[in-house]
Amino acid sequence: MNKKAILAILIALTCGSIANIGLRAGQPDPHRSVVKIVTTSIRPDYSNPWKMLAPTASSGSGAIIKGNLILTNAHVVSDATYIQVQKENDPDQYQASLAFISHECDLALIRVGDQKFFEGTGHLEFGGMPALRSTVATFGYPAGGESISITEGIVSRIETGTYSHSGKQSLLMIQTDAALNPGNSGGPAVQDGLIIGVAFQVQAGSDNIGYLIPVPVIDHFFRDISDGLIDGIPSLGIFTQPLQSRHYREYLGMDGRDTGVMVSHVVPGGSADGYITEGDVITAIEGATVANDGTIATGIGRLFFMTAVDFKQMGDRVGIEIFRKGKKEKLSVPLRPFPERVKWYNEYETMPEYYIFGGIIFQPLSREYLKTWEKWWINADRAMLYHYAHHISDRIRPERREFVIINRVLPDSANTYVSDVRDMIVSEVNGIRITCMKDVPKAFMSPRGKFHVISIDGTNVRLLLRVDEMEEANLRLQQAYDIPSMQRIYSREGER
Amino acid sequence: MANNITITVTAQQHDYNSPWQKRDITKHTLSGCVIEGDLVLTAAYPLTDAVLLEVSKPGGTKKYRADVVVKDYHCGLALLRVSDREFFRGIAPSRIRTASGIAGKKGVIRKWDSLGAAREYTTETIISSMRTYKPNYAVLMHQLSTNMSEGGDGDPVFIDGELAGITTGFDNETKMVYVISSETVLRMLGDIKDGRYDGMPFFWVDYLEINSDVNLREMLGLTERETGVYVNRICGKSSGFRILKEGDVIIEINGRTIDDDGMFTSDHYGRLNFYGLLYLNTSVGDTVSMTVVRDKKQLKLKFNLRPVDDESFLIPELCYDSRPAFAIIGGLVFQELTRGYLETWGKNWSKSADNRMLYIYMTRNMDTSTDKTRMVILNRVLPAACNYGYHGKNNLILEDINGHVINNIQEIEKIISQLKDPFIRFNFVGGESIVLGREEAIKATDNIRKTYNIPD
Repeated sequence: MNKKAILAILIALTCGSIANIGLRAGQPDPHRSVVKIVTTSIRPDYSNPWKMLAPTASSGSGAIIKGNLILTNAHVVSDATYIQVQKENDPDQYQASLAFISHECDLALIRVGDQKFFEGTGHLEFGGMPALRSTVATFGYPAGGESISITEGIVSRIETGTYSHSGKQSLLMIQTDAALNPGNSGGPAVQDGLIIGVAFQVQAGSDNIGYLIPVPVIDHFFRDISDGLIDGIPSLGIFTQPLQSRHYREYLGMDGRDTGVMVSHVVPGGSADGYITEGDVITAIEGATVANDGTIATGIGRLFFMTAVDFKQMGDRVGIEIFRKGKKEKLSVPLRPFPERVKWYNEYETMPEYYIFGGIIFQPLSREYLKTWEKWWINADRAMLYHYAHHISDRIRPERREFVIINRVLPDSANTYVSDVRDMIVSEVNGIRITCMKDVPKAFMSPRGKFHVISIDGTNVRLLLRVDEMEEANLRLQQAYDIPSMQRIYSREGER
Repeated sequence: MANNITITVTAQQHDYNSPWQKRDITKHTLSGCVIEGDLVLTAAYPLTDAVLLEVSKPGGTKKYRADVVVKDYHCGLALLRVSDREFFRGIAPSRIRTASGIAGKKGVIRKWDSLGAAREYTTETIISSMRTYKPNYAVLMHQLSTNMSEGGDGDPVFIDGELAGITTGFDNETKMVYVISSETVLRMLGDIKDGRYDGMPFFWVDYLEINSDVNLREMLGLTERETGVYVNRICGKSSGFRILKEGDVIIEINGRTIDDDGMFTSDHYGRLNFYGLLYLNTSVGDTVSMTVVRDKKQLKLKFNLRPVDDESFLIPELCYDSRPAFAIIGGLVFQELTRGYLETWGKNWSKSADNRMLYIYMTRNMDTSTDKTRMVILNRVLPAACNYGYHGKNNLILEDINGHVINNIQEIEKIISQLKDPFIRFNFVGGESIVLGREEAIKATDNIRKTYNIPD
């Protein structure tokens, strides 16, 4: 299926508006549209970044939609080496491949090469937002048996919450008490024969709290990929503070009727940079008034005002009304990607960057690196945890585009005096300030004198490597530790 | 009559989470030993936050009130006096062992168990070493293997009939006990002889052992015979600050050479960490001669040993015996960042406490000041009408109030009393802020105190 065809179909799908919940005549039995997805996946080892971890198998569910595509969760098929699908009453498994995947909203589309798979199946269409307390049925292949399983429940709550696959976004989700179990992920939640959500996660340690990705988020995903590329969910790039205290509002010069939230931080290079300043009060977004707790009224209750940005596409403009120095102003802010200095979220389908020199393993600080610690949010290196959590708010080292760290040192006779070093943040190499991974190999090309000198944050102690020993040492290390390549560094947009 | 006695401690810690009150009242016992001058010698750390100290005669049950003469957390020792002379009648004070070889020597620990029976345990000295008490005082301690089954604080250890030290830490699994050396006791007794306790002199550098790192040796220009330690950072209140410099390699102190692993050969105790040359048998005012290699040349330095006031650390380590400073403005509870505050996160505090605070504690633990500068923090907000909108705020670091930088708790009330603005704006590290109506906040404070039972 070529991209143009996909495009046409997806545009057709997105014409199902949010408010439209109707019965469709001649709708197929959902049984015939729900498939089991079995995935083998393989993830990189951020602790030994030239290696992969062992392959793992998992299974989930998916729904056949128009165009013979299967909609499922990103986490069902992420990092897949081999995907297979199976349908009810059919003993055969068919190979599938990834068409599109968005980790932020935990959605993916897969396609099946052999069209024979679709004989005897039907496709499901999309509904809108279900009402609170209305009944939904989930279809899937969860644990507890082999054939298709259906559970039923109601819509308990509609709110924004964290999508834990990437951990990045707090998006709209439907909470249901329909029982969801491992294997249900990716399966459709159906009301009146239409998909009103995709089952994707549960609340750990609770009873009967399962979550569905609602149609507006699915809709955003389809619109995003209609140009063939995933751009993701845009962000304003600001931190805000609620203004429930009337003292703060008076202090800012707001009159008694105005409400909003105060901008406490504008991320340099983010969408709002150049448009919004710290101290501005956001009083309305896309025409909706922002209350003092940050919420706006929507068709489905009060939601945090950032929801309005969640449903925009990258490159769109968002209308924001601000209160600044006694006056209201209307801004139109173009949405661009968030300038991440530390990869803050779970990463998929990427291989870790690294550079190994003299046995020293340099990597960028990222959440995935911190996750190599057991219970990392408590046990990981303290300086790294602080940099991870506060580098934006505390404006740590604004000149660094990323934080290059030393993972550890692979022992060799040429580095015997520094081989115990681990988990340090790099400051300089050979007198050159390290602001990103690319600076590292460049700096090693210009030693001053007999030694390569590496400085790390927080100490005057320098790590030394003899220049004349490095060529042999690097070869020795590569052989001894079976390392296919001693570096992996990606180019950034706009770089040579 | 034996001269080892039991001390009963009634203690009540201050509550660093609700600093206007104290925590539960506790009671525990430890051992002590009678020494010359009608004094009782024991360990200092078990006496933290003591409200009442009582001593019992050897094997006896009658309790006598005891008072502290010196309680020095820097060396882990305390001296008590008992006003009722009757207590000392019939007890022959211990002789204290002076410096002499101790490795391999056998000894005994004498203590009274909970039923009042005399217990004697054997010990054998394994090794001696310099060990530190925070913030960085080095004390000569001996490690002994023992068949003791419980205890480990203040128990007197006798070798050849003389007091060789008192216990300070016991591991029942490995059957090892650490003992504060008698040398340390003698230093303390010598110090108070003139009626004034000067305390231990203070020296603190963060250093790196050269450890035959040929690259580092070449980089620093050290010759074959020059061995020692590389000075990474120097605490601002350390003896020798401004004379010793970062980057110096210390190769000799008071005529003793220092090896590449930071050790020197002592007269009686084998190889000890070089801190022994600054802390063993030294007093405030002593002169230290140090040879360093600086810029590839040898240099002879001289400086005097001086003490430091624990209060001059930016983040105080020793948080005992006194109420934590705090200020409540409009229900906002401000305190100082101290180790005591971090410990409110529980046993695992060094991992589970607030991320930012832990990072500051870790990286600025050597910072000192002359004017009692502290990191002022917002502990939490006691909810009231005047602070509505901020009820969930906690664990923030205060930067300024209405633009005035705040250096310690006392400055908060001073600055606020001088303000004329209608609002008080508290700015915190990381960009968060709180604005209160000034008059309303000040007026509300009395009511908040009453509501939350906070005494004046």
